[in-house]
Amino acid sequence: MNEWNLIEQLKQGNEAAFRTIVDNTQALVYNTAIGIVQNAEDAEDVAQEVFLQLYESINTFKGESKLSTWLYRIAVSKAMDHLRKKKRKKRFAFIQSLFGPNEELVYDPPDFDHPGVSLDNKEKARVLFLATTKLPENQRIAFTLNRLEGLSYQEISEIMETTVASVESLLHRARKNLRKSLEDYYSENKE
Amino acid sequence: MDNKSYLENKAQEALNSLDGIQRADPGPFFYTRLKARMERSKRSVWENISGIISKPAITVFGLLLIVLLNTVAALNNEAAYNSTLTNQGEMAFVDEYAQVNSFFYDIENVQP
Repeated sequence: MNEWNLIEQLKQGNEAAFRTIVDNTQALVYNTAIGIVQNAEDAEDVAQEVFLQLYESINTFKGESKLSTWLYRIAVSKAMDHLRKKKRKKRFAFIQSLFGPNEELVYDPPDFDHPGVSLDNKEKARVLFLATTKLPENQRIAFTLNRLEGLSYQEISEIMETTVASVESLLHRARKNLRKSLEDYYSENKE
Repeated sequence: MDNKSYLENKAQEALNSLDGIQRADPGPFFYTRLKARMERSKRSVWENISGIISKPAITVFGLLLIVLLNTVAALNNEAAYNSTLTNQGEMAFVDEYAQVNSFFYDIENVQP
């Protein structure tokens, strides 16, 4: 069954069609989410939210883009919302901690291991993921889609609803900023 | 190797560390967990509503709104009461005026 038929069946409330779409696209959604939120539990949460939204708003999908493009867009938006919420909670917890010794800061893991990175590269990838957290939002999204999902500039431009030239520029700046962050990190943590 | 080249090399190695990365997947039974969440979210519509209503900001806003509506209603009632009093005064004046004009002379000397 092709994508268009699945969407039409999902619009009619067919659960089997929903299941097929979830099975076919869960890795794409989860991998994008984990690249941005950098935490397995949070990524699972975001992925579930993405599919909930897909189920609830499939009737608004007009088929002007591919389903995967739409899912990437929702995944990126939900993941960024999740990060913003977490930042707000962290700030609030910090303010609370100023007023009492028993308040704990929201746990923010400093190291993230992407399960798809080879063992040899784990340590370097950990440092790289830490550096991506310092990137501006758009650069971080473009970098994640390009390096983790292997998407072309054209595909990223469709997801981010911008031009290919903008994506090129975003990725160029992302690499420049990452290089700077990484050099700073290694100059402070020399072996 | 000088310090600058060392740092550049390390940064480049880190940037290259994602080469050949495999896609992460959410693990088995993702669909089952998703369905369970969908069921939970269906059941908890009323819980969500009560959760929103019981938020301190919403509660305070609701109370303030009730106080405001009561104040407006009280002010309107007072205005209406005052305007009724004014009308009553006018009516009393008209009655009084009519009585003043009805002398017994007029009653006894009815024109044919």
